[in-house]
Amino acid sequence: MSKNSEEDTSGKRFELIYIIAAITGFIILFFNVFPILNTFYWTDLETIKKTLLDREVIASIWLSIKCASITTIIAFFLGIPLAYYLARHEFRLKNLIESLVDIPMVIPHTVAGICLLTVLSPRSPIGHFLEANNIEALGTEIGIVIAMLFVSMPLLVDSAKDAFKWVPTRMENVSRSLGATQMQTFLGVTFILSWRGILSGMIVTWARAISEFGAVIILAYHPMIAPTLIYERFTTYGMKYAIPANIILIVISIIIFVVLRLVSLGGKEKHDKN
Amino acid sequence: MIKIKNLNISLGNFQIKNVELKVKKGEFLVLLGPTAAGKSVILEAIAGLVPIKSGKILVNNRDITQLKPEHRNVSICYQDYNLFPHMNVRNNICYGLRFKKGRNNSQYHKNFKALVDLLKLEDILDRLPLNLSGGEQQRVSLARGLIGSPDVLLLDEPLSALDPNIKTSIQEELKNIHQTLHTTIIMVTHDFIEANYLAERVAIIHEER
Repeated sequence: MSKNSEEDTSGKRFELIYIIAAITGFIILFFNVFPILNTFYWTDLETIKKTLLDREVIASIWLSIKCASITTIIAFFLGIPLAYYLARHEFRLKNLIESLVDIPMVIPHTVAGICLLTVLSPRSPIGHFLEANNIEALGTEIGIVIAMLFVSMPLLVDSAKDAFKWVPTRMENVSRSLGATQMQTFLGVTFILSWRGILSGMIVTWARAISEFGAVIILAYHPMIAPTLIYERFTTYGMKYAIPANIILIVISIIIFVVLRLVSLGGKEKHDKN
Repeated sequence: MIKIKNLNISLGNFQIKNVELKVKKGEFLVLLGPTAAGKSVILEAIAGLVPIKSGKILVNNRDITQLKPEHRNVSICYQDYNLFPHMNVRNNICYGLRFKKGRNNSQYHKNFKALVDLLKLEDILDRLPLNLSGGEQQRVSLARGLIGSPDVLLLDEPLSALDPNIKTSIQEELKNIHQTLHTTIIMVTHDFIEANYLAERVAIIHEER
């Protein structure tokens, strides 16, 4: 047998599926990243610096971050118990309840905003109750958070549910048989072992909330969150005035997203090492 | 003494009917039967982990039928160990002690020492479960189940995931534990040889249940 025929060629083989994956992968990455990068060519550093000193822009970005963070915290406390229950129990209406939880994901967001508006307007019992108690939801931060919560809550519930499913029920059984109550088992075993999945869910929830626009403008055009401000500047003054604020929001969102992802991945590596 | 009277369990289409069982205090009873006969479900019913349709479970003349698992003083060990991966061996073993009301620390400290010696765990106390072999994990799981002096230790096929050499050594250790601590043990297996080696008495569950 010749020397050439004995050479290991396993590393040189190209499978068709991998070639297709490489091409489609490139298309996806280009599709995701290029429009974002391209925005930077439409302005200059001087304008961005000026925009950074624009109080209206900074206030809107801060409001976006604040409302998205409050939304994520509320989603966490509301979503975790339900996610745990759905992960651990089989019952007749489970599919229906899971579908109802996910409904906001299939409703166009302006439609969701109008649905919420019907609930919060003074003509509805809830809106009337809020008005009677001097709680203003429409045109306030409360309205922004409600809109963000409506569209992002399913992401947290679904992520937490998947994370809880990874913890074996038998591990919880052992904990109970050793004297821990269900709550002690949840806090001491299940939640600790699921925290990475839950954190990922919180990151996605936050990201979804900060990017929400459609439902928010219906409930609260003012005070302006960043997407609303950018929309307003675009429709009133055009691209030139919309892009600098756009870039600042992109950069801040990406920085926060990357930091949170790194925290999450850092935990994963530590966990895997252990 | 453990008495199970006319136990009926219904989990969807799966049913177990009229189980009667008596286990003497300090006895090693093996529940033998084919796969999917419901042996594990009976153990989980004793531990309070699955709902029962009717019947009674008494442990040392105490009716535990309606008690929550954490109030039964019944420990369970599974074949897949289920050690808590975020705790080292020491913390895994001592996990249950934090929930013991009016706990006798010196007694539990003695139990800890005795179990660590008995199961040869001294060298691995600071390790995480991920770094343990199957046999080591099962020994830790046994120590964790025994440290709180349970009225009954339930073993759900504890040897079936182990390779043959380790299996023999854990079998011997199980026998040794029982002879030393005199804990009442109910073990489920489908392996007749295992049952023959370990059991003082064997109960057989039929497929008809």
